[in-house]
This record gives sequence, structure tokens and C-alpha cells, in this order.
Amino acid sequence: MAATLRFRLDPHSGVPTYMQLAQQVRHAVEYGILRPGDQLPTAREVVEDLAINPNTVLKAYRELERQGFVHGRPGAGTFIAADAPEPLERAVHTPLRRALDRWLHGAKDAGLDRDSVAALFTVAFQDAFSREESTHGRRR
Amino acid sequence: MDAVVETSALTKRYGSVIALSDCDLALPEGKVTGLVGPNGAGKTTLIHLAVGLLRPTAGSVRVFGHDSVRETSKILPRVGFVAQDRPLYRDLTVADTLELGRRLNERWDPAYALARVRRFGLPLSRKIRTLSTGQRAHVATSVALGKRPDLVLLDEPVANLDPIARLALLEELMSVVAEDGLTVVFSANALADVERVCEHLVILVNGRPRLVGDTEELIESHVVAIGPRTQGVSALDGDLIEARHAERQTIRLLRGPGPARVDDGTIVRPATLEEIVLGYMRPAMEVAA
Amino acid sequence: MTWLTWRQHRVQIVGLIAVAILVTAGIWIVAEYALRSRAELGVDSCVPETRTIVTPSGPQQIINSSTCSDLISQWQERIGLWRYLFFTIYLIPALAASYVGGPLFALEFERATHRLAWTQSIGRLRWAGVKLAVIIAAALIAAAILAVAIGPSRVLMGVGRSGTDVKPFETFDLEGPAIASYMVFGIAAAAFVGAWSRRILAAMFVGLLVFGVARVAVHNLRPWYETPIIMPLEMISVIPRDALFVDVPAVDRDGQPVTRERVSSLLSEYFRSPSRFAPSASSNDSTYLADRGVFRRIGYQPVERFWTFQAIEAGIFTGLAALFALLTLWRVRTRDA
Repeated sequence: MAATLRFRLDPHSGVPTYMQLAQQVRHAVEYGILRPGDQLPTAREVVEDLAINPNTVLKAYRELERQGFVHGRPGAGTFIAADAPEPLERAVHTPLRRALDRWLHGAKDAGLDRDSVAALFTVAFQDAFSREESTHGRRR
Repeated sequence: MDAVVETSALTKRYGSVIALSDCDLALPEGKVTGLVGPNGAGKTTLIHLAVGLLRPTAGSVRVFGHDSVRETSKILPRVGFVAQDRPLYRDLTVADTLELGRRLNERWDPAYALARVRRFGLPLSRKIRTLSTGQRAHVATSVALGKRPDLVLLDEPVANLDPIARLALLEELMSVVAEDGLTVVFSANALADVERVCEHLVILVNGRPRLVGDTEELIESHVVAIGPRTQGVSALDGDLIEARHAERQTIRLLRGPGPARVDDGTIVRPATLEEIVLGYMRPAMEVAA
Repeated sequence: MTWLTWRQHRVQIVGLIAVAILVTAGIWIVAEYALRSRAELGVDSCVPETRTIVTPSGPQQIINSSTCSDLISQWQERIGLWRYLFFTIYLIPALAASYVGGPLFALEFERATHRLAWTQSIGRLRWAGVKLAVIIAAALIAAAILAVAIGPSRVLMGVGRSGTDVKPFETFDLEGPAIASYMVFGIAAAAFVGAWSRRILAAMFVGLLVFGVARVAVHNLRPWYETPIIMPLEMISVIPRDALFVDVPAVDRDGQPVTRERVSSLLSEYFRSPSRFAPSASSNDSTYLADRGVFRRIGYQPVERFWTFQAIEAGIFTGLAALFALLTLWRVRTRDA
């Protein structure tokens, strides 16, 4: 049986591997790729796919379990929780994406190159989330 | 957390060359530990001391609580070791090499070792010298794993392997970790491999541990701040590990919670493991140089 | 470990034993051929041709021995260079030292396979001990095979000087105990050099050198394993022909040794003196020397001591081999890898 989800890694992101895995599961749920009751790949399957440490996979799943996205059934595997958040509404998602596209095009037209755009975004991102971070620790 | 390998005041000298100096380390049980450092930092020496190939000049190594010199016979049956360049007898066949493992170890799982070799479709009747580097790496690893060890020590296990063989070998190791939960310690030059599989990291520079910690903690506790060149770093919280200056700009690696609030246009972002490792290695090497 | 040693070195082990068999068989065949052709040519039944010629003083018989010596030359020619085949026995222990002993440990160190072996569960000492033991056992088998060639070797050695037999001491080095001890010694010595230097080429060359030096040194020592029986040189004819002659210095009237230089200067003095042809002069060189207080002597070891000497020689080389084997084990046990 093919795994329900294939993870991918970005080694240059600076984001710990377990977080990358957890994020990808959350995204898959948010975009409706995984639905409640779906099984996540076993640690063994992920290891064979990505050659990463199995404990990292387990750590990602524990993190997700703590957040209520998934629940583990001992001996059976890890499954998307029945009360996992609903997929994001298209109504919310689509306009946001369009606005971002427009902003990016605007930046390009203004003559900013790739790195400048990224730098600008990072600064703005930090400003927007710095309040949240100061209460929650630096990152989630 | 129990330590599988524990060194105390460990020193190793070759003539006047100091390979390891006054090294206190505890490598955790059940984790994958990466041993990183520039060439000549003492990685191989440390691993060889642990398996009793070398004797300490001063201090001691204990593996599973046993002294590596006096109680080697209690350590070796439980340790799978692959030396640098994966030495094997060139004129033996793959089957003979497994037979070697069976005959030289009281603790040996023939079916398991055979299964490992079979996984990679290695023909049993082929002589070692006719195998590719990647295939040899698998045979050497299979011999190390055939003991069903509690600890696996690997010296540069993926060096000289092409990317596919490298991933295949790491995947093999990690599947064993997934199954048996054993402790793995390996030295590496390629940080990408360390980042991929290591939960614990030891950075050795000039024969001393420069940084020791769990990989994720290290990543989470370090930031890179890129900003205009200034004299002080007062605006940034945390310990300055390394600062690299351009004419107008300074790139800093910091350990600590990160920026309180930076108004001068400094960008602060999480550090990658590579940045952390290089950030610790470079200044220490410059001091020594 | 025995299995691994066999599996690793089987080419050398089989090669060594095969060479021993080939050489022994070769010597047997050539010696057999030598004996047969000697009989065919009738060398030993040759009766010198006699001719009666008439001379002014009457008929006289002339013995022409050239027909018999022609037969001997014919016989020697038939065998040709094959008669030197027994020399290979001298070489085999040297080759065994170089090719089997030299790489025994050096190859492991050079290819770093000792790190594989030493980190399995058997100890280093057992590893090194079994390796040495297996190889030495193979060397002993080869030596036992070579020892069979001693008889025919004597035949071949005799061909060179027109006979079929030689004295026991001349084939001393080819005798079983000696050959076996050389073989074991050479392998142990070269193995040690390999364990020490970690270099195959060094082990092969230096091992060979150590073997050669020891052989020459002990060879020079051999006549003195027991105190030789000493007598005046003039009585040399009473010494049994199969004894081992020992060169002993001349003495003066008080029994103190006289240097070689003095003896030879006196002798040349005697041979140059015109008076030696005078009827009143000393009748020969010995009396000439005796008149000047110098007495030349000769020593010998009787053939009855042959086997004692074999035991002593084999003991020396076995002892040296044991020493090198112990040094090897010590080196392996204590060395950093």
C-alpha cells in the first residue's frame, strides 16, 4: 500500500526536520489532502523514503498529537484526528493568495529582485509576528 | 539520559601531535550522534579509542561502562564498527565476508546479516574487490550490524559515495534504528547527512569538543542576524558566537533568544545547522592557527 | 579464525606446499635418472683399457684411464644443469620468509583490514597467534616434504664431482630438522618485520635480509657447537673422511695461538729459501715451522656428532623463531592501530 503522504525536506530552511514534517501534515489537512481517519506514513516508511532519523518522525507525530491534529493508536499507527481543523475555506484562501500575487508583481515592477523581496518580506513578517512570539517563545 | 560512550579527561598524543586533548564527553544512549569537525580534529582518534584500537595517552573511555583498554573484550561483542574507507578482505566473497563475521563473533545473527546484504541485491559469490564503493559500504555495514550491536560506530560512513548510495546507506542505518533503537555514532564531513539523521551533535575542533547538544535544540537556540556594520552588538540578545564583517554589513551568529527589537534594518532569521557548525568551527580554528 | 587464515592465505599455503612437492619430486626424478644413466653407461664397471706396447726394454703395459673419465663426463653431460636442482631447497625457506611471512601482517596493516579483524569479538592476541600458527603448520608440512629429498640431493651433489654419494655434513642444511627450523624461523622473522614496519615491501626485503644474515652467522658458528677434536696438521690423514673439518689456529711451544699472518709469513719464507732443496735442510714445511716454534693444527667434528649438531642447529633457529613470534604477538597486542 502506498503511503498516504510523501514528505519532502528543505535542508536549507533552518527549520528543524520534525517541524518541517509537522507543517507538511498540517498543510495537507488544511488543503484537504488528508482527512480525518487517514493514516499517516509509519516512521519506517518515512525513513525508507527520506533516510532521516525515525525518532524525528515520531517527534513530529507527537507534536501533531499534542496539537490535536492526529492521534496515535498503539500498534496500529497514527491517524488524522476526527476533530482536526476543517480544510481552509476556499473563500478565505483564494483572495489572500490573489492579494499576495498582486503584491509580488508590484514589487517586481518596482524593480526589486528576488532577494530584496525575500528580505522585505522577512522584515515585515517579523514585525507582524513579533508580538505573538514574545508571548509564545520565539517560535511555536 | 544514560551515556553509552563516556570519556573523561581523554587525551591522545601521537609523538608531539595532540589529537585529542582533555576531552570530557558523554554520548547519549539510543540516539544518533554526529561527530563533526575539520580534518584532523580528532574524530577518527575518538572513535578508535572507543573500540580499543588506540590507547589513551591520558584519561579514559568507557563504553557501556567498561574501560576501553582493559575490558575491550566486554565492549567489542556489542559494538558494530566500520573504519574509514570500510576495510574488507578484497579476495573474500560477500558470503565469505559474512562467514568471517559469524566465525569471529560469538554474538552473530546470520539470517539478519544475510537479509541486510540481500536488501541491496549484492551477489553472494562476488569477490569484494569487484564491488563498487557503494556496494562495499553495504557489505561493511552488514558485517557491523550482523553482531546485532547495541552501539554502532562509523567513521565517515558515507564518504566517497555517490548521492544515491549515500541516501541508501543512511536509509539502511535509520531503518535499523527504527527497528532496534540502537545507538549510532558517526563522523562526517558532509553536514547535510548530519542534519538529516543526527539528533545529537558533537563539534570537535583541534582535539576538543567545541559544541555539544541535541540538533534541534541547537537549531532553535541560534539565530543569524544580518545588519549594518556596527561596533557593538548591544541591540541583540544572546551570546555572540561569530561575527563576519563586510564593509557595510555584519553577519552574526548568536546563541540566545534572538532579537528583542531591532530597528536598524537588521534581519534576524533562524540559523541553519550548517551556519551553526561553521560558526563554531571557524573562530576556534583561527585562534589555533 | 583458523578458517579466516586459511581462506586469506590459502594461495600461499597451497603454493608453498606445491613448490615443496614439485622440488622434491623433481630432485627424485633427476637423481633416479642420474643413477640409471650411470648404470647404463657402466661408469662403475668401467675397467681402464690396457695396451701392451713393445719398447726397447721389452713389452710394457699402458693403462689408459681416459675411457673411464670420458664415461664420467658423458654421464655428467647427460644430467647437465639439472644437477643443481637441489640448490632450490636452500632457496625455499628464504622465499617462504619473503612471500609468506612478509605479507602475513604487513598486508593487513597496509590495507587497514586489521581494523576490521581487531574490532570483531576475538582478541588481537588470538588473531595474531592463530595466523602465525596456521602458517607455521603449513611451513612444517612443506619442510617435511622437502626432507624426503635429502637422499636424492646427495646423489645430485655427487654428480658434480663424479661420484654418487657425499658426506653427511655437506648436506647438513638440507636435512629435515634444519630445513624445518629455517622455514619456521624465516616466516616468523619476516612476519615480525611486517608487524613492525606495516609495509609489505619492507617486510619482504628486510625479512629476507634478516633470514640471510642469521643463516650465515649460524653457519659460521656451526663447527663450534661442540669442542672440536684437535690434532697436529700432519696427522690429517688419520681423520675420518666423513668428519667436519674445523679450522683452528696454530700454536707456539707454550700452546698460545699464533696469528695466521705469522704462519703465512713463515711459510713464504720457507718456500722462498733456496736452502730447502739442500739435503741437510728440514724435510718439509711443517718441520721448518716446528723449528721456529710454530705448530699447525687441524680440528674436526666426527660424523657421530651429526644428529647432535642437527638438534643444536634446529634448536637455535626454533628458539629465534619463537623469539620473533613472541615479539610479534607483543607488538600486535600493544600497538596503536
